[in-house]
Amino acid sequence: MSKRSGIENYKTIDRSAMDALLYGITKGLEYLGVQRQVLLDRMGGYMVEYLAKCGAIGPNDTPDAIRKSIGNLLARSGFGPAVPLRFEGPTQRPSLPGFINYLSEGQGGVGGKKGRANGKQARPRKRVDWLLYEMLLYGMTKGLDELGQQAQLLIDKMGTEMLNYLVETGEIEHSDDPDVFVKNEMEYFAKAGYLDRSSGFKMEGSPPNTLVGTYVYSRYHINVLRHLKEANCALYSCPPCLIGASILKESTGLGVQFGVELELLPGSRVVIRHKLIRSTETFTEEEARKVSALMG
Amino acid sequence: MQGQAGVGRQIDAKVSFLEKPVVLLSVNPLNYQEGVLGALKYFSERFGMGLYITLNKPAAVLRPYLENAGVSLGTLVFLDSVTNTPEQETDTCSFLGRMRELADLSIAISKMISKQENVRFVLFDSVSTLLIYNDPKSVARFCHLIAEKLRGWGISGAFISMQLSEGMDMVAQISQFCDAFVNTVNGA
Repeated sequence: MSKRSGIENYKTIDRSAMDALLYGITKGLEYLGVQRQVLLDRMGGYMVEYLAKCGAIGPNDTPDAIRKSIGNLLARSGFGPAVPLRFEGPTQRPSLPGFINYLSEGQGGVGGKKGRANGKQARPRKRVDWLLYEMLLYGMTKGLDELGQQAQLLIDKMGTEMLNYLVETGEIEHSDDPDVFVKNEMEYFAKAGYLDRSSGFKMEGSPPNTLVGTYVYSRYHINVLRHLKEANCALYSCPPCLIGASILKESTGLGVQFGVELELLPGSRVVIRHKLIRSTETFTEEEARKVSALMG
Repeated sequence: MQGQAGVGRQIDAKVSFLEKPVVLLSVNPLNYQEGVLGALKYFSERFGMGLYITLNKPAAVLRPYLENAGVSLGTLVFLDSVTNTPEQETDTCSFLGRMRELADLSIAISKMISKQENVRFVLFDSVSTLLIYNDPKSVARFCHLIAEKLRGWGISGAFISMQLSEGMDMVAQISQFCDAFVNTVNGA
């Protein structure tokens, strides 16, 4: 990866990152039981929409042409021919409703023991097209957008489940020291091909000041987040940030308000500022009494 | 799953005998918009003028959606704490800026109620959003304060909460300050 000179070189990502995302989505919505399929269907529709936004399928493509383009894209990443593509409603909107099971193919099912084999054991590493990972991230996020800002709670939960998956499969080494744990996490994402090794986080001041992340060649920020913003979606779903926030919350109790500032700089550099939130009560009894008096 | 009318019927079954009820409504994420719309229509038809406090979606997004769904915008004013804009007011909307603190939000609600004298109910969308940046204990305390004030002002209210895998303790706590707890899935 050292010779890579631009985001265009980040064409594939380690499959473990995608498996973690699928696991996060599955576990994050598990409490809804079988009804979660409604949300998964919605996500599947937005996944195909993302492929259209990126030009992987054309605006006037016939169903056959769409099937072929998506089939080829998936085949290049080693997925089978039984693509769960459906054309729904009067507009025949293409969707991938069964994406979880299909993309978990050969992994024993997401969440299955076979799929969560210990990563320390020798397991052939596979890579998948970055566009598929982008498609999943966009679909997952936009599919929850109908719920408004509160959907961030579901996304945060998915981040925690992604972390659980990556720790349990040995991809990220756990540490009781949050700095070391976050460092291990960033090393994993650099190795997986999510970002350049020069990416990192630094703290500016102390809470409630900010955590500044510099991402170099992060396709999430440059592609997915841009498309989400264009679609008026204010949710934030960068996996390393979600996982980092989960580590911080677990070890220090600090919460994270994602992306209070975002700068896109030349050279595919992204500087993002997250605000840290203290774990103390935000509305104490004393404050409530004072406010009550002011309210009349 | 049930339609908006079903949600209205569920609320009615629990609070029709109360003059100015304060309700906690727990809505399944699968039919969230329908659930909120059902509650809004119920309160709107029963009480008239309402204050829609939105922490979830900008008022600019809600207005056309509600209008298309048959809600008369002439009977609604908004308090918007999700749009990323400096604090400002129009005739029908007060913009607070994104995710203001619970104290600021409380004061803004009371200001809006005293300014909009015709408001007869408040719809709070949603309690869950507050959990992104606040601890459950503080959120419950905030809801307690608002519920008390609503009773003092003689105004009805609906706190909306999205069903989550966590935070059930907080929901149970808030339900104690309310006249009824309506769960849109179980009808409990």
